[in-house]
Amino acid sequence: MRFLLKKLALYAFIAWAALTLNFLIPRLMPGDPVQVLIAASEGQLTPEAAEAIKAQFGITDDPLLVQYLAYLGDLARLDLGVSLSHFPVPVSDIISGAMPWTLGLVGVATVISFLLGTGLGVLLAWRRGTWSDHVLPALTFLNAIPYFWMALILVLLLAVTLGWFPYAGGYDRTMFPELALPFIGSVLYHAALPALTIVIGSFAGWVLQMRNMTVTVLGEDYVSMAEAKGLPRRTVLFGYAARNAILPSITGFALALGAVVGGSMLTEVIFNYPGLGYTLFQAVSAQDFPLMQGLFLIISLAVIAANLIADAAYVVLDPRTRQGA
Amino acid sequence: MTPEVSRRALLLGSAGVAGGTALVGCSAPETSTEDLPVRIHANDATTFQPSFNPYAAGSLQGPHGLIYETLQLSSPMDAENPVPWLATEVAWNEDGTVLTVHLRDDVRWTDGEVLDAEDVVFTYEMIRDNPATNGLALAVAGATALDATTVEISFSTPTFVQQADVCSRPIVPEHVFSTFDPGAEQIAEPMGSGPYRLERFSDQLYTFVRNDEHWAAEEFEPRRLAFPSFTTQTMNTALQAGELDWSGGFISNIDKVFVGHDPEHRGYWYPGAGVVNLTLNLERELWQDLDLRRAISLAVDRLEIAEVAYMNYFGPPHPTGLPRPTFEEYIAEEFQDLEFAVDLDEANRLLDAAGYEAGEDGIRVAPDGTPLSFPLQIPSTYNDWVTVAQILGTQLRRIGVELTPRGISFENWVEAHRSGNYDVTITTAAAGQNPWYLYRALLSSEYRSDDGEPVTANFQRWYDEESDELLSEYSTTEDPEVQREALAGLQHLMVERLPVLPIVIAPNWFNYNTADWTGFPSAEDPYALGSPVEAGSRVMILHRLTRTGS
Repeated sequence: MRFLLKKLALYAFIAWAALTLNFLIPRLMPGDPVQVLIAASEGQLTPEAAEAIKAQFGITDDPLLVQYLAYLGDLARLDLGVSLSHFPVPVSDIISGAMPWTLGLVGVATVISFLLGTGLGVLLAWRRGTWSDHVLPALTFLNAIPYFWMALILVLLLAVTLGWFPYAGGYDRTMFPELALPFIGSVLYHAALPALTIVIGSFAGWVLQMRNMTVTVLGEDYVSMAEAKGLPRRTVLFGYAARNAILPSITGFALALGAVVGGSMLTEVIFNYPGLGYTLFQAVSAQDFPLMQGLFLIISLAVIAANLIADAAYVVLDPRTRQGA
Repeated sequence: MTPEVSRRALLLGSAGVAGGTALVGCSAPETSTEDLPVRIHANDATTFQPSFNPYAAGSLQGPHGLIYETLQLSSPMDAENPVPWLATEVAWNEDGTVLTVHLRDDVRWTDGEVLDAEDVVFTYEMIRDNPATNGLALAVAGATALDATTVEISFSTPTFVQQADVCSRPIVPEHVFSTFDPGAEQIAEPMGSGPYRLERFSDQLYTFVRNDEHWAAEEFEPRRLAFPSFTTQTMNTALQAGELDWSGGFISNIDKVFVGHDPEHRGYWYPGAGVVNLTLNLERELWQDLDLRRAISLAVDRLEIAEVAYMNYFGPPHPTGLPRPTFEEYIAEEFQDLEFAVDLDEANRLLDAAGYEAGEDGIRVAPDGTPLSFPLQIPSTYNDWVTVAQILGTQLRRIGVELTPRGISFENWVEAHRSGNYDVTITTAAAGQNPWYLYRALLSSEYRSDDGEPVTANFQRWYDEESDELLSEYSTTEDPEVQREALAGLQHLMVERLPVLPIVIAPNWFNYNTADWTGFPSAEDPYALGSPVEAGSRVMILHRLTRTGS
């Protein structure tokens, strides 16, 4: 219990640090969102609009400390402010609109990739020294390809040239969201290719990590012991070897799940997928500070929460941590 | 060289997607032909937020003019002849400070209430009292209803030349807008008086449907308008596949990529909507030398730039800076046949005579010892400007002036030219509703700032009494003769004193597909600007569209 309490205190501190950085970083960036908006409007907004927009955005010249206290107060009320590039839509509306897309696409793809990769890793470790070792160079290759390059090639080939998959969006642009088969089908169809690229781009890493860890663990004395006392091979593999080998992967997986909330920015940008990663990209391009802040906040909190869960999972999986605390 | 031009932030690798040649995408499910929507790409976005407040900066395209109507419809293409709309007639008092507006008496909001003088008064008082809604910085002093259909709007300065701005403000319902802060309210369900109303909204598509109660409903043939979400990158593929009838935006290699698939129906028209200038920081003593500016202008080959960087989508700019054909009728008679000419000999002669001697490396050195070698700051996301900058570098090298293109972030570029922290850069001036807007943005001292404060226009910092007098003459009269003279004076100034060096036209991007709908403006019938983000032109165009073949 003391272990968990200590962890909780640590995470509370980390969360505070993240909130504060989140407040400071956008304010240290160069540029003036109003002028960027005007310059980017290509004549749709005249120079005269600057004052009106400033008044709309409520941009203040208050001292940093005052702004910081106001920021903490707003956060306590769960008020993330109003987006500048989508003025006057609240940031929380934009985030909650984009969140399901990211959780659905990146979340599911990450879980699939982890399960597939880890399972395959155990299998390859068990069968090491056979034909299966020849798969390794191919996996290393897959693991080394830059993700954006692979994704672009797949888009160009499968979506643009062959036209098998859509090239953008979360669903068909002629449809309105409803709980009906055509719409759900369209969502799945639009998610298929981006999900495929995420799985291809990440599962090899899981395979390699899991295989190597399992091979190491298989050489441990307690595994030989288990084999020697005649336990079934399945028990030896999953109960003794894999359970220990998976610990580093669990940490990695928790971090990956935390990162899911940030969206796989490259995926979403390449596929124009309406998730958080794409939203963040747009927010940065438009210098939409409130939206950026809101997104960073959600992302950092998700990573922190994921770490906390990983720590808790360790306690369950690894009895040694319980005694150490 | 095949430049990939994208004005908005160009995404990593998007060129690969945009450059594809195959037709993509599933076609729309068949709707009954009677209901066939006009499909318009007017927002550069992947997802939409339900935001239709015409006075909020981040609102979606469409409500202005189509849902919330304006007193008149005006287009820079025909600035002198606005189309009466909510107002049947408007008239100025003698000094341009009071505009008397006569309204139609048959206009209703879609909730059934009558749109009358009180709503108009409310709208202009809102603009006066709530700076957040005064995006055009109009000097509204007050508004009074003389009777149910007559309003007097008064101004604190003569406002003749801004009539198009005054009469293009969306008129809002008092009984709705008085219940919230009009500059900061998110309006998800707009309620206006216009020929269309919002039908459905999703984060990738919203549709408008015709308001059949509207006084001009019968004159609008399209019953539905569909606004699907595309970005500049995904738009190209959608256009290729025929999924859009009407769009703005640049398309690389358009004749092959877009028009070539159906030359009978597809086309584009890019009239000038502003001018892109080589901007020399006139606060630095060196650039105050007119001979140097003239020599540089003589060495720039605008035709080459239009050809290489813009594939000849449009011609070179006019020496007066007035965009053609949009403001062609304003060009003074003596300048009508004038074009920028390249004359390297004359340029070199000017520089030699002014004492800019060539150094060992061929780069000239100013009499005070400054070498004529400067970084040319441009936003690195503007791919077309990157090409322009490279061409400029090559061209000016011929007269011993070295401009090295330096791509910087968009934000840094904005910051640099606003705060005057540059030697040479490229900036754009929008044409506005009439030439006064363009010349004011280029030449007026009213934008001058106190030391070090950033400026919002006149980035080259041209502060000149004669310019200010001419601008003021132009804006304080309704007499076309006086206006014409002031305008001629401003054109002389542009041509002879070169406050900025126009190098490229800033076009109004407009692509159309007449497979389903015809009646779009074109070079042959230039009744409006074509880009779907121009509020006045947009209504005019929808007013004219008819089903193809019917």
